[in-house]
Amino acid sequence: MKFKKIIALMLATLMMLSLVACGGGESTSDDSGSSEAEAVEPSADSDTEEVSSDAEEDSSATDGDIQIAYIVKALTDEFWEDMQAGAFAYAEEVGVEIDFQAPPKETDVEQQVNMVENAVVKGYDAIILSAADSKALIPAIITANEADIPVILVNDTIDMDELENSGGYVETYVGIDQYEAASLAGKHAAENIEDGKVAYLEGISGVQALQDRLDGFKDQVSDFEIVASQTANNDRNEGYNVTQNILSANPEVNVIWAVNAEMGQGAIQAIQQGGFENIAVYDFDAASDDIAAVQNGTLTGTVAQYPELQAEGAIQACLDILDGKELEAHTKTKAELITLDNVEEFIANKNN
Amino acid sequence: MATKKKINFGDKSSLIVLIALIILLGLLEPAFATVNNAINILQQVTVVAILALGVNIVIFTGGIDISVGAVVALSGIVLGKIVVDAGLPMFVGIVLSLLVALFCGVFNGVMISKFKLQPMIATLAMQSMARGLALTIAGGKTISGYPESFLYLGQGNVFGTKIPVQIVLMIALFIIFHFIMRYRKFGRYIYAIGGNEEASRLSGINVDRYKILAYSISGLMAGVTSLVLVAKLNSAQPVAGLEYEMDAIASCVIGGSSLLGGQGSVWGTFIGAIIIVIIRNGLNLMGISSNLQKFVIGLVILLAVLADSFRNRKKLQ
Amino acid sequence: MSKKSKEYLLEMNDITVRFPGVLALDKVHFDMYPGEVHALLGENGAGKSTIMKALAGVNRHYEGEIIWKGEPIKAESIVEQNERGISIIFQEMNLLPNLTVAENIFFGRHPTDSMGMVLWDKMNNDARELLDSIGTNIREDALIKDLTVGAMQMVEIAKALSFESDLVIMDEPTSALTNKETENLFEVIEKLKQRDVGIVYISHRLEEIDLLADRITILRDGKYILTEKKENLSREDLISNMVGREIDDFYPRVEVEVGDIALKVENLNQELNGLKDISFFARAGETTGFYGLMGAGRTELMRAIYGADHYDSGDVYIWGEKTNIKSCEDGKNKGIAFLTEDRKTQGLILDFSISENISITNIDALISNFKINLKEEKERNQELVSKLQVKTPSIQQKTLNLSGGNQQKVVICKWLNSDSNIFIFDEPTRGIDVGAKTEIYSIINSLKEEGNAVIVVTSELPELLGVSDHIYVMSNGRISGEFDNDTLATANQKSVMRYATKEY
Repeated sequence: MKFKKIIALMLATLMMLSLVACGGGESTSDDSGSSEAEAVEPSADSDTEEVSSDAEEDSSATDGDIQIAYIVKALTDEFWEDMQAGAFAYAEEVGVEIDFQAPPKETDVEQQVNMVENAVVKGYDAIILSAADSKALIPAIITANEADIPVILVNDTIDMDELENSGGYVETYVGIDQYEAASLAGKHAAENIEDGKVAYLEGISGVQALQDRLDGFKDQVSDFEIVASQTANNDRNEGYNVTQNILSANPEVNVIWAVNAEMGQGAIQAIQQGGFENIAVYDFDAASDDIAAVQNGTLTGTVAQYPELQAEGAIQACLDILDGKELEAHTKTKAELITLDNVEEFIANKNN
Repeated sequence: MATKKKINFGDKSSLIVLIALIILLGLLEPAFATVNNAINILQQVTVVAILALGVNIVIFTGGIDISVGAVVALSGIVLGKIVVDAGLPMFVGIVLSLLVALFCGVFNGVMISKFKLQPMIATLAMQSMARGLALTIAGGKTISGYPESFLYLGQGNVFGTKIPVQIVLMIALFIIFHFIMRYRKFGRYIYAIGGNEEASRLSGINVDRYKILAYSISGLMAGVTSLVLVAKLNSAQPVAGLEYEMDAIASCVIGGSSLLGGQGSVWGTFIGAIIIVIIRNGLNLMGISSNLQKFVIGLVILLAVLADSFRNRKKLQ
Repeated sequence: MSKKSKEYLLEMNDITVRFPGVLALDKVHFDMYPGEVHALLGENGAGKSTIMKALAGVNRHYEGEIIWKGEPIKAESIVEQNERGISIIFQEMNLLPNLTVAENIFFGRHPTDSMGMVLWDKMNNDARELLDSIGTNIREDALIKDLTVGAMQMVEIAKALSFESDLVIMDEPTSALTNKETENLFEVIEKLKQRDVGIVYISHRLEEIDLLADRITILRDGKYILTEKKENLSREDLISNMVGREIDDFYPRVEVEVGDIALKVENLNQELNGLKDISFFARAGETTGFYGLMGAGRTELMRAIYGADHYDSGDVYIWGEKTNIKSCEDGKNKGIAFLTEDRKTQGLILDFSISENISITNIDALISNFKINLKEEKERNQELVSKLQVKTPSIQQKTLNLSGGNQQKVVICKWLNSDSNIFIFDEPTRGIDVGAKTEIYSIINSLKEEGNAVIVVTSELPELLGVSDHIYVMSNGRISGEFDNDTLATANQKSVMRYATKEY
């Protein structure tokens, strides 16, 4: 019995310590953020100089800074890494503090729900969310609504009708239009390939964005013959196996549309190793593997959705809302199809 | 003797299932029964089968190892970091990534044998630790760009033939393991420990040492699996190998290994792995949703375990 | 008789119980008056527990007549017998470790309300009352696993009382109790007697019998010997009636020239199992017998020497050399063979074939060119199996399917196959038919002749006296007596039993 108590005590202490540690980390990052912001953009402060000097004096205090919870689906691939980098860069630029969080993997929907709920309890000024599921996050968003914490969606949208029916709302959705972005690839395929026989690599089921990407492409190539449509659960090795299997049954396939980069890369490996030629592969995300593949011609096109721009847009949307502005339901950010024609340009821009 | 037939029934039943599946899929899908598809299947089975080979040793002792999927990811990332990011020679990367995998296995083994943790719990902890380390070290990024000579392991053919190198590696490993389990003291002791741990200890077998060895081998095989996977995909991802341990365990069980230990064979596990891959392959070829594949594989596991429990029940009578 | 039988609380007549191949009880009689303590005595295996298990409804495969409060009954199940007012406190505890004391006492009979919800307060209060009534301050909400063995025994008693029993069977209740706890128990027994509850008291401790019993019934080899008032029986009478029989020529002992001291133990202590200050030796060419009643610590001693359990202090010398055995592997490498008491759980790998079981102790000898020579394995093991006359169609047969005697022979084969020269046999003939027993004795003899040291741990007095050249008797974790060359002639069932019942 005693032993149990000791364990409980140790756990509690550990939790406290970790909280303190986290808190410490936040306040330091936010100190530097705030002082720099004030130094770089004094005009951003609408108050008088007196006040701003006051703020400088007690710059160790965190109140007065805008704190944003930035919750994404995972940090397991490059896209989210880039978004994180973009978010931190822009946050520093405009002088807000962001707390970037993600569950271990994209399918951990429940953990993401918990993160949003925790953020509401912690009382952030705004929550930026990239929803891991188009429906499961709705209750958590409503919780935030009730606490008057604005919610901005980024990159992944949710089922808006259901959100409305449940009495919730979001300020705006910042991101590309998944459907339109996917159409770019579809259009390219429709224009360049005759007599298309297409195989689709679907993503994890239940994610609206992935479904939109599938539909966006499909609707542009309505005269193509759909030879196969299988999910490979966004996984590279599964993408490889599924492609290999599809090609053995249907060697006539000449177009593959993979709704994420991992599956696209798996498909490329399977095609190369199977010795197939003249298959145009399109995928989504423009990860660095994709860019390399476009350069060497194994990937025909990849849709870039500029995660950095999305992060900037989302943070700016927070600031606008907190300033009392109204926003459009969809704050569109840039999407672009990267092919051999514009890949060098894309690399050059990215390196800047 | 009548009893002898019962003993071998398990292995035979998985073989019968395999043959039935091959005939069924061959009839339903013309693309199935082709040489190319056969090679595809063997290529797709390498990852699961090599992983299962290691896990199987642990299962023979009556234990379980659910950390292997995460260890695959970790050792792959270590390989990528060393070879691609740090630019060190391939050889160094391979040795170190295998050592990392081996270490994970040794750690599991020590926790289980010396500190008496339950295998499920110890390897669950390792699963989480290895996955966390893989994600942290990789920073969420995929690491690609390996020398051609290395990719040969996962993509090349044995020269002059159409036989992929990875298949040869897999079969060689299975032959070695078969030999060890049948003709070496190690194999005897592993089965003995699974059959009756206490009696084995009282017969003078150093049970702790052999258990640690079993988990170490499981870890090492996860490392080998990782090499094959990285070479096959030309990339190491921190999310690689997710839930692969389940495929590996399922292979063992379908192949006739009892989770109570002491029963099963190396070849049974090979057949089990092939059955899993063939179901996926066949349903893919027929264009049936992968959600249904999961259902079918679950069903096969269930049947295999039921067969196992019937065998045990007969034994008790 | 007819007048007397009305006063009986219980009468059991002609009770017979058969186990496969064994007649465990042969027309045994037992009776009880209300409010008496009736001691049931006998050697290990005499049938004491067997008859009580029949009475308590644990084993319903008995023949004979049970008359309870004047009515003939059939003991079909524990629950039914509990309801009739007969409860048993098991030798091996039957409590659920993760439940509370109160839950255990009322297990399966939780008081509930009309909705079927458990009335926890009522249950705890009732438990409290019961615990108070036997004068213990164990908390009713404590978990069983946090209690001492003695406290668990008290909970068992409280549980028995909760049935408001008229008859409580206590099977070796004090074997795990401290002196203080034993005193408590005796007070409880006194209280129960005053309430007219009858107590069947099974114990090896004759002092306790002196103190408690009103009447005594003695069983031997499954047979009824006598029932007497305590005053009419001296301790000598008790012992001679318990052991009774004469030694026959069943044991073909051979005399061999005695060799060096193979195993010497000095001042061995092990707190875990209460082994205290144990010193003994075993010589080559001799059979050293170890006798003791249940719980005396014989098996525990042997396990410690072999390396199966750790001991706290003491020295072990093998062939004159001081050794530090830390594991079974060490023990085996030092040349000790340990044939465990329980063949099925400790001796054999039941899924393995006979041949595989035999090889396990010496696989290295079969390895040539980096592999086990399966052909040689077969030949070697076949030879052993033939030599020991294991009855099996093939050495590839699983040991699971063998009879007890043949399983024991396989265990012996397994150890003959090792390079051992000190053989510890723990209960080598338990549960084995007479024919196989003789064969095992002759194996022991030939081991002796080959210059090995043999230690035989046994609970059977005739066996002890029949095979041993040198005898140690244990009681309460200590060596309580020894019969060496000079005194072996004085060893008989009575003298051994006197040491075995020595109190510490």
